[in-house]
Amino acid sequence: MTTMDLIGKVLQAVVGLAAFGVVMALLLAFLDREDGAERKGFVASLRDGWRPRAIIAAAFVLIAVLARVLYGVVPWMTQQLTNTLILLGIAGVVGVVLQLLLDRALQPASPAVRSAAYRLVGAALVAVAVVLLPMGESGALPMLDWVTPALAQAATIVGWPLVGALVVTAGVAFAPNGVRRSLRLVVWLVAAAAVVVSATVLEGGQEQPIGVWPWAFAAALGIAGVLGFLADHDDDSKPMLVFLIPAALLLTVGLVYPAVRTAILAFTDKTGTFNGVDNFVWMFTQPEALVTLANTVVWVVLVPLLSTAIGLAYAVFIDKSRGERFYKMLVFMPMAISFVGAGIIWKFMYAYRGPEQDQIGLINQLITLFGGQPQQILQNSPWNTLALIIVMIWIQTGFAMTVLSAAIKGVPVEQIEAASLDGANPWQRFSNVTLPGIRSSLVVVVTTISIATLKVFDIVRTMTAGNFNTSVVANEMYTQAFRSGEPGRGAALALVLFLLVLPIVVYNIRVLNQQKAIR
Amino acid sequence: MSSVAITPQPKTSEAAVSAAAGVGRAERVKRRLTSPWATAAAIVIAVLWTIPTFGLLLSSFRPAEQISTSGWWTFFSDPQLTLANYGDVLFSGSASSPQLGEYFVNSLLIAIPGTILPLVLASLAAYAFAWVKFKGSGTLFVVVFALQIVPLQMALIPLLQLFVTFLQPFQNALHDAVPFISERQFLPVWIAHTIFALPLAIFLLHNFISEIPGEVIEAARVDGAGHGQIFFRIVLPLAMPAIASFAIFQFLWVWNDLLVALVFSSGTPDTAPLTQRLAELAGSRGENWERLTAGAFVSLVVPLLVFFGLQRFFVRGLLAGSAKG
Repeated sequence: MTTMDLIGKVLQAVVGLAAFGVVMALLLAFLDREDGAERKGFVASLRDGWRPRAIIAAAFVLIAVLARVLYGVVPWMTQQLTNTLILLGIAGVVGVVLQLLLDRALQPASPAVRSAAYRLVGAALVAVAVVLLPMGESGALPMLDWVTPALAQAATIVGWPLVGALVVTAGVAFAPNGVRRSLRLVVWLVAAAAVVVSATVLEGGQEQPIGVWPWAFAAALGIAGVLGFLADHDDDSKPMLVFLIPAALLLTVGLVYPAVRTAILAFTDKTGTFNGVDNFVWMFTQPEALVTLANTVVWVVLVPLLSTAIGLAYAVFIDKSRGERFYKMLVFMPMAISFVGAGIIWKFMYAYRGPEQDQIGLINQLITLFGGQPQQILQNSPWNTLALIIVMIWIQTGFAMTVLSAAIKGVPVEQIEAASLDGANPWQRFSNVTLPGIRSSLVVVVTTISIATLKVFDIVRTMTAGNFNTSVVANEMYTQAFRSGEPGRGAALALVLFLLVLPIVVYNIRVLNQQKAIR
Repeated sequence: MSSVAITPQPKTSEAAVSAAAGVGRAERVKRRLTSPWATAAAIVIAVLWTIPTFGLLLSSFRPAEQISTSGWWTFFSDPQLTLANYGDVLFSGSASSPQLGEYFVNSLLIAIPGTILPLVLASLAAYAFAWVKFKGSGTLFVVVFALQIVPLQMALIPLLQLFVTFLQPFQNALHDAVPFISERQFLPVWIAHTIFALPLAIFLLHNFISEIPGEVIEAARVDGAGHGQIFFRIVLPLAMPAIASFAIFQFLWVWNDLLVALVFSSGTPDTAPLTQRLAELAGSRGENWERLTAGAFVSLVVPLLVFFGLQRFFVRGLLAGSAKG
């Protein structure tokens, strides 16, 4: 590793975190933009003063000029990049001026007029871009000759629905509140659907696949519509929903979209054609698939139960004892070991050597010590599943112990003292005072461990790879989807996994609602 | 604003006073709670939980040929120790198998942003879920919660396609602009970890943040604090113990992750973390026991340091609100 490499890596982290900070700051600025009477700070002055605008406009001019100057001087300033930057500079200056003019012109107007005017101007700008970009691509505009067919197509697919949505939402600006909100929401959702539909239609007519980005854009439009719907209120707490945008975007792209895709995939065969419930029939008729399901049930019953029970007992036993931190550290340590490391450690524990050799695995050493025959622990079903479960319990107990120990410390000493004055024995004190006091923590711990257990993959993968009747749903899913080329079956397993978790989710929601009712 | 910032103060000082008063009583209660059996059980659990790791630790100091022929407990009858395994793993770099130091840096550079980014986003979202009443809030929260179970294996391929489509051009441009930043960057790994951490983080932080007394936030709003101010000056400090303890777990999960790294990092010394290297060292059948044992311990150091450094946050009222009723 050279020093330059190291600098490059650290630079990535610094730039990444800084960019993230800027995005967050912008979000907060957007949030506080409506804060009425006393506007303060940079964003507020942006709306009132001309100086910040001048600075921003100058920055855009600088970008364009720099791009032109650097073109041909440094190798990385390609023609395309130069054009893009110059265009960006022009657009920026135009934007600043337009915003200034609009703001001045609309100063005395009502909010409805302002909102409509901004939307119409935005629509006009987008429309100009949508018209110009394909012209550049076809060569009609020499300035825009760097536009690729893909870019022009993208502008068309995305641009027209956007223009339409902006115009219509501007049109309903004067409608009564309730109607306006609902209409705007519908318009945004329709625009999102339009993007997807037009992309799908266009994709059918050409060889080059368009890819997944129209879906992402449609999702963004939909989310923006929903959030706008929620934010269009008199209640001033509503704009806080902006806080949901980044999380919602990431989750939509990274989890919702794959989940929906998986759900559709579950009803197709390996060539991708619809085959009804065949995958589910396969799952519940094949012996090996049934073993997988049974194993998963055993896992999800034993692991949360035992690791929570042991963790809780341990937390109670060491509570307030001398050297508590040290004791905690001992049981917490497996949490700090990666699943890969845990796999290594326990393979070592379960290692098998023939009866005539010295054993190197502790378990077999103990078995032979007491006169038994060394066992191939990881290969003898059904005990091998138990051996894997022990590894998971070994890891998760640390999690349960740490969280529950903290919760126990939150139980007021007075209550315990009062109970003991009333003559409660230690067990009664524990079950009647401590246990109710840590109930919500217990729910969180059991839930988290249950879900982690249902998704367990690394342990099974590294220790037995699912052979010898040890497979679980998460592992079988991987095997079916990526090894056997049966993505449909893998998806069906994933769907079953989801159904298995549903009761846990429902129970948690009920507990949450109860708490809200108490508050 | 100053009044707002002070508001939580009386609470904490009160708590401190009652805690100090509680110590004496706690001692008395403790004496009655602990029985010899409980102590014995605790020691048995501690020993059982430590033995596997201890065996590995001892093995990592044993000569290579002994590790694979005799159990680590033979050390007590025939003590032989060596540092050769660690020297091997840490310093014997070569072109084909670079030393672990580089992967160590990668792990850090993946785990730190991989902890900060989801925590910030999740605490913002949790704040919105907890303190904004809007139609469908409950449903949306259930959806986020349920997303926890979307199996990673299913999300990996679509996400990878998205990254190739959207991020790759951007990354190449960055590499062209600043040549000493490799074109294989950490960005995809960060985003992937952020996405996969969000559901659980939002769920847990929501539980804590919704326990903050509503009067505190109301008071701040009456005093004219904006949302940003409320979030940074009230919600964040009050939820700090929870955020810190979640940060510990998130750090550990990212540090110990293998699957996401396998898919989204390049697998080269440019971005691959320690776990990936360890898995490679383990080989398909785990033959390199001596390197493996030492390597496992190198990767263990940072999580333990993090745990020790932030442990006090666990003690200082994590989930404390649950005992309020």
